[in-house]
Amino acid sequence: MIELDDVRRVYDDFSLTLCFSVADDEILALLGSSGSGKTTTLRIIAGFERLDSGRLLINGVDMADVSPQQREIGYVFQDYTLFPHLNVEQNVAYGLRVAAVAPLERRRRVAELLEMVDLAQFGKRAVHTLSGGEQQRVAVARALARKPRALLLDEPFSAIDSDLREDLRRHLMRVQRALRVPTIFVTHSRTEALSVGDRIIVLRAGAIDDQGTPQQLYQRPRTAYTARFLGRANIIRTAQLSAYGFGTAGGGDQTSADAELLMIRPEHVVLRPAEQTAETAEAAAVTFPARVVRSTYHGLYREYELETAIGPLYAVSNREFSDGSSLVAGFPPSHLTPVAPDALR
Amino acid sequence: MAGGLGRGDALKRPAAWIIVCGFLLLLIPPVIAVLGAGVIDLGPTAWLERVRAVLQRPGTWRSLRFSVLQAAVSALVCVVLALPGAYYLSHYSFPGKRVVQSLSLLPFVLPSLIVILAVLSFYGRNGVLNQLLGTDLVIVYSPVGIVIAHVLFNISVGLRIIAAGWMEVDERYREVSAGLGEGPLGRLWRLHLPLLLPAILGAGGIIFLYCFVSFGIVLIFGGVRWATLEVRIYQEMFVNLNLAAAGALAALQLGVCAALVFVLQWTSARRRTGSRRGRRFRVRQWNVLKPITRVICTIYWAAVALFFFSPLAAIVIRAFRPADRWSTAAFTALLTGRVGDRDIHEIIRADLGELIRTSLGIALVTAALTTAVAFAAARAVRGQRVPLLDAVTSLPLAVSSVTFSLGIWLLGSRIAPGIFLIWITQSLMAFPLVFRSVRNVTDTFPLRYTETAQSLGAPLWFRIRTLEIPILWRGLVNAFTFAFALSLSDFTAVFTIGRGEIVTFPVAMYRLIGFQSFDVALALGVWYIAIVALVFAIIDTTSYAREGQGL
Amino acid sequence: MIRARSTYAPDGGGPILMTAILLLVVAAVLPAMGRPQAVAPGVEERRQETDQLVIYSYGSLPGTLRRAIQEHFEERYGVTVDLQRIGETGAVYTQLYLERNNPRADVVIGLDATYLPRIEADNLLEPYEPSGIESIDPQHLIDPRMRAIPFDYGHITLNYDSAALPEPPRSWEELLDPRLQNSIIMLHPGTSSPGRNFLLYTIAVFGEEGYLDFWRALRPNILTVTAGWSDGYGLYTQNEAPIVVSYETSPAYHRHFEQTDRYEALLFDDAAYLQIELAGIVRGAPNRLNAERLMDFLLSAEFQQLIPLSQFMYPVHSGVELPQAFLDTRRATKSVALDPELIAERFDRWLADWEEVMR
Repeated sequence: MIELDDVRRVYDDFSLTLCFSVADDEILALLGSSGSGKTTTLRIIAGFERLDSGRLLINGVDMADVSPQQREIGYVFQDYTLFPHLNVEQNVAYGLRVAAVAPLERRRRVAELLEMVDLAQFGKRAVHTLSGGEQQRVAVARALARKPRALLLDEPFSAIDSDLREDLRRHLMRVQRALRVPTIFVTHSRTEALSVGDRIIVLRAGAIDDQGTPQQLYQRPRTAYTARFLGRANIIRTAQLSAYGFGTAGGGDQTSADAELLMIRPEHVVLRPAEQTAETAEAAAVTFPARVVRSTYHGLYREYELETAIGPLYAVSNREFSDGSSLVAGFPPSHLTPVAPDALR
Repeated sequence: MAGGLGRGDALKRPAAWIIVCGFLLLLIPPVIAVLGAGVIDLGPTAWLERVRAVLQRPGTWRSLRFSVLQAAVSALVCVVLALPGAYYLSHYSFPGKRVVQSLSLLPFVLPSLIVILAVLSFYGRNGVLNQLLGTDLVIVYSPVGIVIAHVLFNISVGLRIIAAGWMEVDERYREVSAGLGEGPLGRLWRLHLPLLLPAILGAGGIIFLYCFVSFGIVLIFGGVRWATLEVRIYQEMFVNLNLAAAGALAALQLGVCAALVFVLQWTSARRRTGSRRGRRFRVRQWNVLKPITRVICTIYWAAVALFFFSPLAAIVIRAFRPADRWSTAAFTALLTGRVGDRDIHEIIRADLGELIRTSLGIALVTAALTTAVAFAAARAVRGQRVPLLDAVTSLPLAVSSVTFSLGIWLLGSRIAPGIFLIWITQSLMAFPLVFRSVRNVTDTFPLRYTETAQSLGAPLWFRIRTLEIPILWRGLVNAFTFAFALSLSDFTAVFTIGRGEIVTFPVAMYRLIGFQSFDVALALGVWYIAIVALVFAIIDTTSYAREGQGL
Repeated sequence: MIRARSTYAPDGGGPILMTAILLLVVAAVLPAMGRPQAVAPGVEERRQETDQLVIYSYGSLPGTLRRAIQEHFEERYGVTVDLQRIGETGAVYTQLYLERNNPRADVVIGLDATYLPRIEADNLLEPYEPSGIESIDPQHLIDPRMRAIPFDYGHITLNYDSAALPEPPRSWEELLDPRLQNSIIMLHPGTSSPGRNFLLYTIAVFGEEGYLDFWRALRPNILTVTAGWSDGYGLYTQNEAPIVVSYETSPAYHRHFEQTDRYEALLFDDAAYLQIELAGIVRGAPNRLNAERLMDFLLSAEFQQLIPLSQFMYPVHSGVELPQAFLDTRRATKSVALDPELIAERFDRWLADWEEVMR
């Protein structure tokens, strides 16, 4: 269990404020763009950066006076930082040597760990002969060797071919479940965050913008920023919708009507040819005319850029419409989510 | 900062200041103890009067001008000549590369008298060159001789520092520039030289300082017309016994050197090598090189060997051929201790075994001490650019070693044994070069390794032992070798502090020459070269073996 | 990303380690900075039996002499001799000077006559009239106040290599002959004691008015000017040039040890410049009694007879016979020397003018 209780770190031109916790059986994805403070967050937890105020607890113990080497945290850098002068086995055994684990026991543990990351045959290999994915697995094995109280991974998948990422994700999740160690990984990729994280925290300029399960964040983001960060999102002013029947009886619930902004994912926009306006109105609370500006073919579906009375809109459909064709678009009320506006920036 | 290393801690670390202050505390009191004696003695008015007198002498300024000029030319020639060699050493593997690397340091460890003899044996009037050509050319008794000797002395510094710098230049830059249609010459001019500038300036600066304080070489080859400031300091201090004047000149010399060092630091501080991430560097094998490249490379090393290493060979020949006939008498003399009626061991005041033990013993301790302190200091300021620190730690190059040794003796002889003072003195004198080369490697040590090890629970000593030392091993060995070499070739500190009772090779050689046992001195020189070469070979081999080996 | 490079993990080991090492070293060196101002007790108080004797001398003092001194004191008085050999004469003097308020040495061996005015001015030595002084040629007793006592003497002149120069110059004029271009190795008068004496020699011969003209004319024949005698003599024996500034007795060395007559001294008008080597008791010598014993011993026949074949200088004791090698070598019959007071007063200017000419 990792708890960050109102942790603050202030720099000349940047400040970081954090308040969250990670449970033992949880993989937390820290998602954010460059400079949002996600790596710094990991470094604070690992003890590489001090904190200016607030408390950091690991398994209930305040880490204020605990040096990085006493924190028992597994940290995996973006480039894995395998020690170049040691082979795979020696790298994994490093932490055990620190702890003065007897050689026999050490050998047993290393074999076990390598087995777990499917590298049992790689013990004697020099690290520079490994592929990126293999290196990463060695780094994870090394970080786990001393049964850490937390596992922190900085951009674990960024340097790896997309084909291999799947494998790695499976490995990571399997290992995490097996060892029940609270895990945080940093990423700037929403797909990674969505597919690996049990929970996601979106960081924005040093503060938590939103947090929740992948599904929550994707479908019911709190802010417009998070909504956009996790995927294509249409953000619409509520006021503009009232002309099309929104907010009146049967047109969406009251909470949504009170919000200033609403968000709907492109895949939830209902799109029909203009002549099917009546049927559309049945499926959606709000309907309005739209015209296709541009379309992009994605195989399973097509993505449309539309021009509508309420402004430009993205929609996804498996039906084919030609550019310039007139359509009718509609928003089903259950998929309209109120979001907080981007207060600043 | 995508996946970056994290945000910098803007705090300036106090370590740099601690080092600067500590260093000055060690360096300045001895100098003041010697040169400040003038003030106490004469009173400030009379002292100032003397200082003014020496500063008004035209000879002072002439010496300063000449010191700067000859040092600048020597440094320039050295760097230019070392550039191709540094390129070959860093980029190609060629037959004999290891030999070149080890041997190039040899002249550097020779006492200057032996270097002078080497140059003379080859370039002198009665030298090999004149004998081969059947001429009586007087080449060396001119600034040309000064430059030849200085290049012989210092070229290894240039080769080592610039080669290390070149290995830092990312291979990908070359590829990108080639992709942009840049030819090899343009690439050298527009890409490599600018990137190499810090290394070039660093090497040039150090060579400049060594040449600036050069004493015997300048006098022998330049004659009196070319007395350097160092000669004048010596003259005032030990001949005219005018400590005020010596102090003023030493301050002048120190000032010029410090100014130069600051300017160099400032210029190179503004340049930074690129990110090391994904850095690539490739050493090309000899057999894949184009024939023309191989030919040029061979010609270069042959020329370097001929002009700068064959003088060393000439020493060997002279030692075996004292009077125009082959003889091993000089060598036997060292073992038996007798040549005719002369008792060689009595002259040296040690036998060969003691000589080897003392020399190597002192050099090992000095080298270990210097490397350890330099490593600790370099760790403490890792990744920081502190021009003041770099400048201050270069100052010993500008301090007259006679003055310093005498000062250390005056201050320390009542509280510490001579050998201890010799270690300290030699360490300080070697520090600039050692610190620079240690710093170069510690700065390449990625912070992420440290942090990874920390997160694995490794405490400081464990990290140093299992990560930093093994990973930086080559660089540390390189620095150790420099310190070792400087200590071995040191004459002044051993002689001034050891009071004639501690006998190392250079002391023994000077003694033999002083007692007109010239051929024996040369034979001792050959012994010395052989032992040093052996030690370097051992250091070299072990450091290669160590590389890539697990723990 | 430059900022990130300056981040160093808060490990603190570097600075602490560094500070510790520095403090240790500084702590070891600093205490010596304070210079205790000892007030030396009177001579009579210091004339006590002690078991020590500290001698300063130059680096090239032969082992034979050192051993003789040590054995003499060990056997006769049970005294341990600490003989420190410090660089060249100038360095010995500088050391004495710097320690003058708190002397460590009892006796200094090897100052030369040109230091007399400095000894006077700095008041570095204590007077003592050793027994055996009557055996010294009075013209060598250059300090009437008996602070600096001569123990050997020699002559500075040019040497030549007869193998390379079968017909040596026979006069100062012939030395200027163009056939001798680049043939002379000079020692720097500013850094080498023989070099200094040779410059004085030319001033004694040509006068203050004439010596610069002589050097101007000699300049083309000078190959180089070395810092010390060792370097210059080394070049000479390595056949770089056939003429060098050295001692009148240097040829005797080659004769004795190498059995060669190849090297000879050039003695124009049978003269050479006199160099007298002095010893004296250091002011405030802690072991005054042993110091006096040493001065007596230096002048004894026992010690004096060791001088020729170790120092290759002449003993001051008129009763000591010279070895064969000395007798076989041409020797100066006339000694030239300048007044030390005059040298002290003018040498700086002479040297500067000389440098101006040689430039």
